[in-house]
Amino acid sequence: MSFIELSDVTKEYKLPNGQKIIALENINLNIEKGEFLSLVGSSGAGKSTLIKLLIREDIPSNGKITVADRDITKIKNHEIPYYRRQIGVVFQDFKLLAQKNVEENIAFALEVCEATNIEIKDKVSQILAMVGLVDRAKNYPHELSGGEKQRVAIARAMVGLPQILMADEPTGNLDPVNSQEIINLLIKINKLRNTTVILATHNQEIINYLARRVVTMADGKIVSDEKIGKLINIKNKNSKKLNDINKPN
Amino acid sequence: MTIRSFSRISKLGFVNFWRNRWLSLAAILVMTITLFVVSFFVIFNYVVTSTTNSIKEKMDLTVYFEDQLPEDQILELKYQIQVRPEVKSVTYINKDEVYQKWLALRSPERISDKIKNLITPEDNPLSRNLEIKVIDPKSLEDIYVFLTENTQKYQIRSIDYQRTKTTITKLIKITDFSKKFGLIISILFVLIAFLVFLNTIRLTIFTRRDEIEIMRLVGASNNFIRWPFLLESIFSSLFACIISTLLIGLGLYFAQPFVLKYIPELKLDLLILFWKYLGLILAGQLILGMFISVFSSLAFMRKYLKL
Repeated sequence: MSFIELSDVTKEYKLPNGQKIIALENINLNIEKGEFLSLVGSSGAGKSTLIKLLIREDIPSNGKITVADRDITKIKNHEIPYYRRQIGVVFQDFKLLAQKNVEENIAFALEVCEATNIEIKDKVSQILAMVGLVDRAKNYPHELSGGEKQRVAIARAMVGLPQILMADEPTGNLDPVNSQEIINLLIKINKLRNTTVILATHNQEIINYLARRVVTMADGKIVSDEKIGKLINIKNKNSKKLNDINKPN
Repeated sequence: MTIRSFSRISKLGFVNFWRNRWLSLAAILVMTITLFVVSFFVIFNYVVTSTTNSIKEKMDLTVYFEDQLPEDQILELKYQIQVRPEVKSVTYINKDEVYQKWLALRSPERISDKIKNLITPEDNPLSRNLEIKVIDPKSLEDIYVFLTENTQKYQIRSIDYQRTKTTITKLIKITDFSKKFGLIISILFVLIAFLVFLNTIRLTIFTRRDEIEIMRLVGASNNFIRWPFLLESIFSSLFACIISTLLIGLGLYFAQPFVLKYIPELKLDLLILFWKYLGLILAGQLILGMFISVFSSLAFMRKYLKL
């Protein structure tokens, strides 16, 4: 059995007018432990929906998702926080707390997990060294560049030593140089800690640079799964509708 | 919940409370007014009701007779009244006893010898009378009517009832009014407080939805997300409770002269009452405040945070 397994996963959304939108259709995907997988597709292809299902933000309409031999569609509501502690998530918009400095932002992830203060101090300084932000520890998010902010977000995602790191368009707001740095950091994490990395992107340069497994999605389906992938340009029929659904309320 | 998460949650709650101080201030003010209004009516009703009761108990009716009426007839009337079921006791005071009472009442410093000597056992103009006590003061009215119907027959000089009657009616009117009015106003203010607290929480959650999202992402338990909000409301109602109690103390202090002026019958010391019931006032307000704040917070979070 693979580390992460999706079998016949379908996710449907109902629009307020009663119309049904199929965001994911019969997805079958196996991801091994320590793998670095890129999820590719234009907006609305279903990448973000897939990540939402994997972090148990949502449940599939049909099908089964197992992570480390556990069916996560059957996790009870009060168990979700404990499941999330095993997963690091990074987003395009960083999601840092503006009123907390770098150190505090990272420590926050451990504070909620009831780590001791000593533990927090140790782990935070280790992770700061890893992402190369030791001298920025006391700075606030608004004092950082985009690349630095994303490194803080990665540090926060990784400080709890999760087995999986999911990055949803982490370089979407960054210039090529910073993007490169972030991708290098993800590779480093994958190599050093054997963390399974799932990277959703539509940046062709990154895919080519990575030269790792690429799963391409379009219209909620997997259209190709290559060991060393290239970006395939496929247009979606319902990309606009899906974007509407995924917008925050 | 461990001590560690408790201290972290308290810190978060307090930081949030301070960061939202203007919003918190609005919540505190509304809660203060609500607690104050409710407590005011409760205290007011308590004071008026208890004093009315004590005055009611002391209420009686005295019938004075002309001197020429034979004693037999007075005793006959006494018997007639005594057999009525609502009557507790009827006491006959004859000439001697009236004189003794008068002697006991008059104080030598106040009354000059001239006046003192106006009344002697031999020449005593004070009327013999019947003192009637009843079980329920409401029945005094019936006895009063009965006596007025028989004024001629028993040569009744006067009936001492009207004076106490006015006091009682005044008090009963105040009690009835304050009970109804107090209840309506209290409910209204409690509702307003609920609404304001709901909106305070809504605004807080709205301004902090990013933080909540991040908390969820990093795996904060529902309690960890919920408690800082609850604590914030609890802080607000705690402050409100203290301020309202101070206001009540001040209010009673300033109300004292008016109470003595307009309802001297009460002979009330409001401040003594305040100190005596301080614990109860504080506890009552705390319970009401916590109920409003915690209930509105939980109701809102259940709906919007799906916690």
